[in-house]
Amino acid sequence: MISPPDEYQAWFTFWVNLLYGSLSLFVLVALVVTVKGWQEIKVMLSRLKEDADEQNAIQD
Amino acid sequence: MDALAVSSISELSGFHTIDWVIVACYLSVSLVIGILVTRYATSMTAYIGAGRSVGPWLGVATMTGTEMGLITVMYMAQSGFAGGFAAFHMGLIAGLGTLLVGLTGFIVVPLRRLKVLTIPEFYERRFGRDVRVLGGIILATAGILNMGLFLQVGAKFIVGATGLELGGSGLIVVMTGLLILVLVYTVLGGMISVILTDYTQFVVLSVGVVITSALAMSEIGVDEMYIAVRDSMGEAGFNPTAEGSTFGLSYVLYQFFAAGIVGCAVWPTAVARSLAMESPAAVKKQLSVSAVSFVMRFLIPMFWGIAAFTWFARIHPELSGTFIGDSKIEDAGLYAMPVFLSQILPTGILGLVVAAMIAAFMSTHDSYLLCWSSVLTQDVVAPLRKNSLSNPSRILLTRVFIVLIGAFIWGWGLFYKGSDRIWDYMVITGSIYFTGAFVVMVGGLYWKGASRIGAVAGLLAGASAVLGLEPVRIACVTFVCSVTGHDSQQWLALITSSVVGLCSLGLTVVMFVVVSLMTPDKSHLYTGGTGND
Repeated sequence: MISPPDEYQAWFTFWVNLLYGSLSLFVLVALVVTVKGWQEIKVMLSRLKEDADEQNAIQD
Repeated sequence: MDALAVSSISELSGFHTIDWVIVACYLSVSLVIGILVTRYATSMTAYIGAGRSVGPWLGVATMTGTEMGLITVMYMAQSGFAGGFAAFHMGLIAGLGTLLVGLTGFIVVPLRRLKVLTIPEFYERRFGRDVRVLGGIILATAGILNMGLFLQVGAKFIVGATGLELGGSGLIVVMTGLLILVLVYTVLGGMISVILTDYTQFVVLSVGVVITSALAMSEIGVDEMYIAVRDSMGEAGFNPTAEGSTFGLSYVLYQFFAAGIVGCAVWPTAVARSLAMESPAAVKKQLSVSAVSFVMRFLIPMFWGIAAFTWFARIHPELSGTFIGDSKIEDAGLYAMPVFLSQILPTGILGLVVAAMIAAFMSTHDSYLLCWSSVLTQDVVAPLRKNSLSNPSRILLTRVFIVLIGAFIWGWGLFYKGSDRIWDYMVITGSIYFTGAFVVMVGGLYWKGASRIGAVAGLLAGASAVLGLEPVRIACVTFVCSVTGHDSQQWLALITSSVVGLCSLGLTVVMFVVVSLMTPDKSHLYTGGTGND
């Protein structure tokens, strides 16, 4: 079978570069978010614990 | 459905006992987290807003966890499977839109500065209580309809990936099991458990995404995908506006609105994340960084869909009849990607990816259930009562709504038989709310001339987007054509769902502006903000 002309190569290159670029950025972001997010979870839970203790103290 | 095809799909899966063990361990951990954080949900702010104590990086994780749910993975894979590389335009638009909103703080920063918990709460501050109740009713109706297919589609992924029998009661059993799991820990922990499970999902999903994409590239190769798409779809597989494309110009234009702006700045579950952030500056940072995730949530599943298409079209043509062509099974575009994953992923990794996908399913469900139920409690029931509701009553009522909505989506998933693509179904059902909400929010925040009656007119006009839902659109066009004697097929091709959406948006803007100018308010409850810090 004769292949159709590769006139869509420019589109393909654009989309694949977008995919590779996004994937690379995502890996970087995922690493940072994993580390920093864990630290923020600890801060969030301590704040919520303080709030919950305050609420309980008011109810008591 | 073809009996031979059903049998062959069940035999294709490489899902083993070790994979089931990994899935079971992951789900158990999620449940335990949900139970452990129950003690922190002592107030409504903590229950539905995590005490507004979420930092920007955790915000990115939870935003990604919610917005890259299993339903997203499935409908984007379906778009890639059917539309080829041309489907990528949605990811590009979504990323650019999110980055723009993140850099400018458009809509979300003034909302966060007001310290509202829900969007209808803003309606009340700006326009009055009746607008809040109307907005809440429209929002909850559209939102619950919008998640109507989540359970069914999520169950299809699990059935396809694990090799459970497609026919019979397998789908119903998986739907029921998933629903019970989500209901238990959402009811218990509220937003706090949602955020914690979103974080774990983000980590597991990130690993799964990278491994799966790398395997798809090495097993098939992007050049092979190019040939498969080129030979089967031609230019339409690369250019979304090409003649014969499953998308088209009106579709692309509508995506600028639906995927670009609404997805991050108007859609309540995304806005809920912004409103739970610790400061307006954190909101901007969260959205700017999340732009990458918003691109990925479209591109990666679409890529998997294209890989699945290539796998069945070129690598294993003996299986292509099951998923491609006239003899394909029902919902072939949905089943193709999970079946493909079950073929290329090794034992153990497959279990990890399925666990990540179930986690993705759960994190979307819990957020949506919490969002719509809190809207019904905070914005519909509470404002209509003469006496104010106590915090425990509000939490109890929200939990009751969560269970009722869960029951509804279970039934709707079995009942709805529209043939529209899942993404299109979601955009149209969502647009019943977001068309009006976008116009009213932008007008309310940035235009002093916006009036209460104008807001009501805008919200009602926005609900006209329901005409774009496939069964409704077909019924309306067919009826009008039968009365006027025109060819209904020709008009159905012309009046697509995207055209209906764009017309609805235009109508809403006109109604909101004209009615606001005709019926100005005597006093302003809130004069808006600029979006800058």
